[in-house]
This record gives sequence, structure tokens and C-alpha cells, in this order.
Amino acid sequence: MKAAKIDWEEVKRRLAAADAAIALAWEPDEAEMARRLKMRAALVARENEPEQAVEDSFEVVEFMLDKARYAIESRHVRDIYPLERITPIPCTPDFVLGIVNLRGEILSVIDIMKFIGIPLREAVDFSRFLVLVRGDMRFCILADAVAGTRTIRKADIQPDLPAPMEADHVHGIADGQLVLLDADELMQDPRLIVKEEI
Amino acid sequence: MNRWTVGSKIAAGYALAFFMVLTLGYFSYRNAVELTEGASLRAHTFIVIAKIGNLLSALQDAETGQRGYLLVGDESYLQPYISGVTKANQALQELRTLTADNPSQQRRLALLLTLVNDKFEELKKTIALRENKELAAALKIVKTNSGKDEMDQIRKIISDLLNEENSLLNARTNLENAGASSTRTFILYGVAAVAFCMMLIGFAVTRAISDQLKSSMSQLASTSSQILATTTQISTGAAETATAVTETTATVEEVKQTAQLASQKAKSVSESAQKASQTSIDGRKAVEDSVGAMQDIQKQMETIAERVVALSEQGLAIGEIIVSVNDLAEQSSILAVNAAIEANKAGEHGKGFSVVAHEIKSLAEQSKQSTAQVRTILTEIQKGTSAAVLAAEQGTKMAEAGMKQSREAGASIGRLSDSIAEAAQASVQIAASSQQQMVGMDQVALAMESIKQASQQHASGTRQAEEAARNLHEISNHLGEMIGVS
Repeated sequence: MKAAKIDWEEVKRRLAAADAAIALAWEPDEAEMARRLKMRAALVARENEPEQAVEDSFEVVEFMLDKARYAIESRHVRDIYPLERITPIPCTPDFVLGIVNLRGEILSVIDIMKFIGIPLREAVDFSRFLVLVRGDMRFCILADAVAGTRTIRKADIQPDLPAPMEADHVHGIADGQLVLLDADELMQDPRLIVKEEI
Repeated sequence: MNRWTVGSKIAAGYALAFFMVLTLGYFSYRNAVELTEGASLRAHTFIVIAKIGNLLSALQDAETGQRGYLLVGDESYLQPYISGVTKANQALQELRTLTADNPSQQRRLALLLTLVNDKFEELKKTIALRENKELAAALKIVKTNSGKDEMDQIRKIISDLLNEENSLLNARTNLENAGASSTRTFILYGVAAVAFCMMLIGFAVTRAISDQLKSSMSQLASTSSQILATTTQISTGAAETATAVTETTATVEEVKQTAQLASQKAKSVSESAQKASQTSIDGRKAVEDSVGAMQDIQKQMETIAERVVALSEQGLAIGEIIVSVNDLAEQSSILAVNAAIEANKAGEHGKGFSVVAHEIKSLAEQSKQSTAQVRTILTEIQKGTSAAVLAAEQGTKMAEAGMKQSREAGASIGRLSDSIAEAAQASVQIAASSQQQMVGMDQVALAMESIKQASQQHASGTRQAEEAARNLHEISNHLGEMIGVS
């Protein structure tokens, strides 16, 4: 019991320090405020530094799927939604997960991994819908997370793919790990038009 | 014989000798009495013979007187006749008396009496005739010779009487002589026999007694030497006893001092026990106080647990808020991405908006990271509160256990107190007992002193006894020499 003996003064001191710290967090003093503002300013400043020519680059939406990073041209992405309940549809190919109601609009949901033939490495954690549009074609693909938009220079794209990444509709690899999907090809794939008869 | 005591043997010997002497004396006395009787009978016979002589002489006197009177006629001549008649009658009477034990003499005397009476009649008749002057008639009677015949007959009877008496006398003399002779013989041989018998008896008695005495003496000699040896041993033992008693007395003195020490110790133990009793009462009170304190601790622990649980519940609210914030951040993020996409679609005009959208997305991401951190911290807090609740619960249980233990300790102290009280009482008793023991030891010491004196007396007594045994031994040796025990 002697080892577990508590120095109550120490405890009180620590408690008071914690109280003060919390109070400080809610009402930061001038120096803290200045530090935070400076940090934000630094962040903002960094974001602004690379300015690329429009011709040499294009905007993509980067998303995570099965621990791997993927990107798709943002002009094909209409918008992004949090995960909703998917209603399975019978008599459809296995890459069609079902349909979903997004703000009154009924859209089919495609498992892009199965569709393009990338083998599943680990369990996926779908949490986002990406609504892709090309002309009349509209459908959803699922992603684990959406990182955001970014600009990719065409020069950075490497068309060669490593062995496990070999699949259809892949434009190339950027930044070593980012798999750039070819949205035009993907959208024109005739497999997407499901016309099953039973 | 051997069963007889020496006294009875001696008495028996003397009794036998006395009996013999008595027998001898009795027979001697009887013989003497017989001799005396024989002498008196002889004297009697002589008297009878003298009386017979007197009778004859009296008769002759009476006849002489008659003749004289007849011749002379003078009265004075009658005098012998008268005295003779009287004397004769008297003598006859005496003879009858003297010979009353002899029938033949009595018969003769009766005949003699008749003859004497006839004679006296004749004499009387003749005297009467002479008185009447008739001398012739008287002479005629005399001349008949009847008187003379009668007288001859009388003489003959008297002669017979005398013969008888003489023969009696002879017989008695012979008898007396024989008695005297046998008495002499008896005395001679009797005394010799008695002397021989007494010699024999004396020898036998002496032999028996001396045999017995000899064996007794040899036993006495061996016994006295044994007694001497024993008394010597006893004397040695008594000396040893005296030494031992002296040592024991010293030991008793030591024991006494030890008892005194024990008494003091017991007293101090008693005081200590009383103090301990008081202390145990204090301890009991302290345990009761500690039980109360434990109860307070338990209550405090319960309060702490409740507070911590309340904090935990508040943490839950914080978690809900965090979930909401996270949701908002997600939505903001999605919105930012959508805004960026829209901005891209707007082309060159949307460029600035694209930057803002990107900024918003970055903020949303930071918010998400912060909420993740808060969630982590909250998880830590939850863990901490759980640990605190667990600790409080354990504290409550420990306090309960402590209470139980304290109660047990209280009970133990109570029992201890009882035990100490008993011990105190016991030690008081021990103190009293040791006091008594000390008194007893004093008495023992006193008794040991007495025993010491007694043992010294005993030692001197045994020395005297040894001396006496030695004397006894010498006496027995001396006696043995006297009796002739080798």
C-alpha cells in the first residue's frame, strides 16, 4: 500500500494545472492566438505555391479504396455523397451492388474494383458515393474515403503499371502510387449497360 | 522336651525330686508312726500284765483277809478283804476296758468275772457265818475245797491271760523289730535311689539346658556380630544422612531465595498483566474507532465511485458531441470536395473558389483529426474512470474487508483482554502462592534444622548403639566361652 500512496498536494496541483490548461484552450491568450494564426497562415501560404499551366495539367478527385489511392478526372465527377443504404437488385452482374436513392435521384452502384478487375487485398470500408456523369450516363462508384481534388501534370503520369495493378480502364500511375483511372473509357464500357433477361 | 522352657525343665526336675523326697518322707513318717504305735501297744500290754498282777494280788489279799478273820474273828482282819475286793473289782473293770479290742481276752475276763464273783460269794458267806459265830459251818465250807478250786481256776485263767498278753507282746515286739528294720532298709535304699534319680535329673536338665543355651549362644554370637555390623553400617549411614541433611538445608536455603525471587517476578508479572489488560481495552476502543473510520472510508469510496460514474456519463455526452462534430466535419469535407469539383467545372472563374473549397476541406480534416484526438482522450478518460470506479469498488471491498478484519481484531483483542485478565488473576494467585510457598519454605528450612539436629542425635545414638552392640558382642563371646561354645 505504501507504494500506491498518493501525494494529494501533487494531485491537486495537477488538477489545477489541467483546469488552467482547459480554460486557456477555450480562451487562448494573445501569444497562443498569434501562434495559431501564424500556423494557419503558413499552411495557406504553402498551398498556394505551385502554379501550373492549364494545358499541362488536369484536375482529379483522389479517393482511397482498399488502402490504395485512386484518382479520376474531376470533370466526370458530378458530386460526392456520404454512404446511403444500397438496395440490392437481383439478376445483375456481380459488380452491380444495387441501387441507391440520392436526393430523389435513383442511381445504380458499381463496385469499381470488381469492374476493373483489381483483386481485393483487404476488407473495404465503403463510406462515400462518387456520382460519375458522362452525357446521359450516370452511376455511382463506392470509395473508402475521398481525399479531395488535386492537379496532376500530364508529364508526371507513367503509363506502365506494376503487376498487381494490371487492369482495364487505367490511365497510368502518378506520384508512384496514385492510380489514375480513365473515366472516358470506363464510361463507354458496354458492360455497364445491363440488359438481363430472365 | 526341647519345647519346654528352661524354667519348666528346672521346675519339672525339682518337682520330681520333691515328689521323691515327699514319698520317702511319707513312708518314713508312716514307719515312725507304726513304730510309735507298736511302742504304745507294748506299753498297753505291760499295763494289762500289771493289772492282771494287781488282780491276782487283790484276790490273794481278799482270801488272806477272810482267812485271818476266820481264824481270829477280829474285825481288823477284814480290812485286806474289803480293799482286796474293791481292788479286784476295779482291776477287773480296767482290764475289761483295756482289752476291749481283744474278744478272746474279753471272753476269758467274763469267765474270770464269774469265777471271781463266785469266790467273793463264798468268801462273803464264810465271813457272814463267822460273824454269826458259826465257825464250824464256815470251816466246813472251807473244807469243801471249793474255794481252793475256784482259786486254782482263777489262777489258771489269769495265767492264760498273762500268756495271751505275753504272746501278744512277743508278737508286737517282733513286728516292731521288723518295722524298724524295714524302715532302716527303706531309708537307706530310698535315699540312695532318690540321690541317684536326682543326679540323673540334674544331669538331664543341665544337659538339656546347656545344649539349648549352647545353640542359643552360638545364634546370639552370630546375631550380635550381625547387629554389630548392622549398627556399624547404620552409624555410617547416619553420618552420611547428617551430611546429606546439611546439604539439603543449604539447598532449601537456596530454594527459599529462588522462591522469593519467583514471588517478586510474579508480582511484577501481575502488574504487567494489569497494564496489558488496560492496554488491550484501549486497543479494543481503537479497533472500534478504526471500524468507524473504515465505514467512513467505505462511504467516501462510494461517493467517489458515484462522482466518477457521473463524470463518465458526462464523458458520454462529450462523446455524443464529438460524434456530432465529426459528422459536421465529414459533411463539411464532402461539401468542400463537391465545391472544389464545381469550382473546377467553372474553369478559370472558379479558381479562387476552388482554393476556398480546398481550405474548407483542410479545416474539416483538421476538425476530424481533432475529434479523433478528443475521442482518443475520451477513451483514455473512460478507461481512467473505469479504473477509478474499479479502484473505488475495490477500495469499498477492501474497506469492508478491513472492517471485518478490524472486527476480528477487536474480537481477538477482546479475547486477548480476557486472557490477559485471566493471566493477571492467575499471576496474582501465583504471587499469593509463591508468598505461601516462601512461608512454606521457611517452615521447611526450620524443619530441616530440626531434622539436622535429630540426625546428629541419631548419629550419636547410633554410635552409642554401635558401642552397645560391640559390648553385646563381647558379652556374647564371653558367655560363649563360659558355656563352652567353641
